[in-house]
Amino acid sequence: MIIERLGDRALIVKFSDEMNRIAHLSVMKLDKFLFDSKTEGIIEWIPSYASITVLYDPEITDTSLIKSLKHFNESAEIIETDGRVIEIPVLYGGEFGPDIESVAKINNVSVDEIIKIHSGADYEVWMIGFMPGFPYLYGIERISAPRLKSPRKFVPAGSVGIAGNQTGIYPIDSPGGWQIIGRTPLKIFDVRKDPPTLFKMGDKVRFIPIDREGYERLCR
Amino acid sequence: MSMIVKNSFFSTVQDIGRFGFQRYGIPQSGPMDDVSFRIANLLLGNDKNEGAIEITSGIFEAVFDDDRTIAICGGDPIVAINGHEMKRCRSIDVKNGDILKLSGMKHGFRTYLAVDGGIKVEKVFKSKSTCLPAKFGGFMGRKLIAGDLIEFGDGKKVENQIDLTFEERSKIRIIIGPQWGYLKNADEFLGAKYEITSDSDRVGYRLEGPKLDLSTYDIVSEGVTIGTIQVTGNGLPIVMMADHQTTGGYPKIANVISVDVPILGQKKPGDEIEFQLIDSDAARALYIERERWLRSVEYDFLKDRPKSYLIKVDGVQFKAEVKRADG
Repeated sequence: MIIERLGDRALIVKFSDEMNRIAHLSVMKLDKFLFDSKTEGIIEWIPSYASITVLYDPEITDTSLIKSLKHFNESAEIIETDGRVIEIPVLYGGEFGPDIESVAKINNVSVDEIIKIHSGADYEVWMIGFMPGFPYLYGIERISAPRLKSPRKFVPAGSVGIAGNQTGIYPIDSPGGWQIIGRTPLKIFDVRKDPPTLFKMGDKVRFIPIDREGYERLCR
Repeated sequence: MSMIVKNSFFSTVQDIGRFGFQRYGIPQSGPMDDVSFRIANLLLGNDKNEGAIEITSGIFEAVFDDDRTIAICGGDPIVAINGHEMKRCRSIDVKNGDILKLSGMKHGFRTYLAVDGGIKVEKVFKSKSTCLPAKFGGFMGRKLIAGDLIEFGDGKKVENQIDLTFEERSKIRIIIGPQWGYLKNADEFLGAKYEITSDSDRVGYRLEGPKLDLSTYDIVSEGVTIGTIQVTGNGLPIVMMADHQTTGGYPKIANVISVDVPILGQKKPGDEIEFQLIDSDAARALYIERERWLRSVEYDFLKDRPKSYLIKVDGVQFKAEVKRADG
């Protein structure tokens, strides 16, 4: 674990320079530690793959915060996640998944196999970031694909994409460079809800292929 | 209890910002120049974090349907009420039917219109700030346009003013970031002038200048903050501003110090800046000094400020008289 400064109001507590399971477990443990310790002067913190960025009020704390973070014990007991699996219905391909054929070509498999592989495993939410409610799901090595060379100006909310070894879902209409393979009719970000996101770090996500009729039924 | 917007180029409702939701990917938002923003509110006796209108490039016109006190603070805008020029950074009384018109900035880029009682909009995730990237908060999640009816909260008439000279400087102070060591041509970065490109907005400032040579341009995504300087694959720096994304996957070579973020927030596309390295203790001291100064401004504006305090020490009560030390 190393602690780095990010400006005069933030620290980054980092467990690894790479994405890996052990580092991410430490992130989840530190997340809980921060919730429980209620350290004075902390404004909020942003957990990610292998680190947590802690924002604080430098009038209240600084070196004392570094000291208290050093008390965090990485080897503490493994946290129990509630093992929630969230099912996300997806209409793959066609106009909703314009990049599915290029993803298939890159991986030398058929479109059907892309759907089978993508919906055939549970992925863990490792991070929420980039835009409100965007879940980063890790572990799709078999069908990975690079980001688009030139990002789209408009990606509709609900679009399911691939970037490198990650898959994710666009919560809102936005520009974006992930390769889009399908779309879910579910609203995964809702400003009227607290928390506003469908997912939290540690949740498991399972994609369920649906057809056009199923998609339209869920839209009603 | 309201005003109708007659003309607006790019104005949004902002309070001090949205805190506690970045873990859900929700940006902090808030004012680009948080000092001017807070002073605009303080001039009116508002809570310093109350909602106000951030007006970009000084183009704004509105008509009031109520007697109100307003304040305009930030940069150096050309302000008029019914055609009569008005000064910035002071309380201004407006009457039913009065027309407020801003017609450009002499200096700076952003100014704040505060109203006694504040801007009345519903809070979303505990904040009145407009989140433009996700279109929520503020006034209908968008910038203001002609015809918008902006309602005010309940306020009271106050009279205040402050003399502030607009600080025009190109030097922006930074402290080194986690990936500073990746930068191979640090001397070039620190010695160069960078121009703020037209591709810059409340999310971030894209800079144009000498290309930076880094050992790698791709790192694992992690949380960033306002003022974070990331270097993208094309070797050019981007500075994260108020509406920045919560996480970033480019190397973070440095961070603009907190007290210089509002200086940067007053810069417009085409302006040139240069970076100066300082250490984190100095940055923190400057921050603490500025916050103290803002509290003293707040204290000076209070009409019914306390003259004495009762303090209990080990069960014994003491009366402490308060006098200004500087005059």
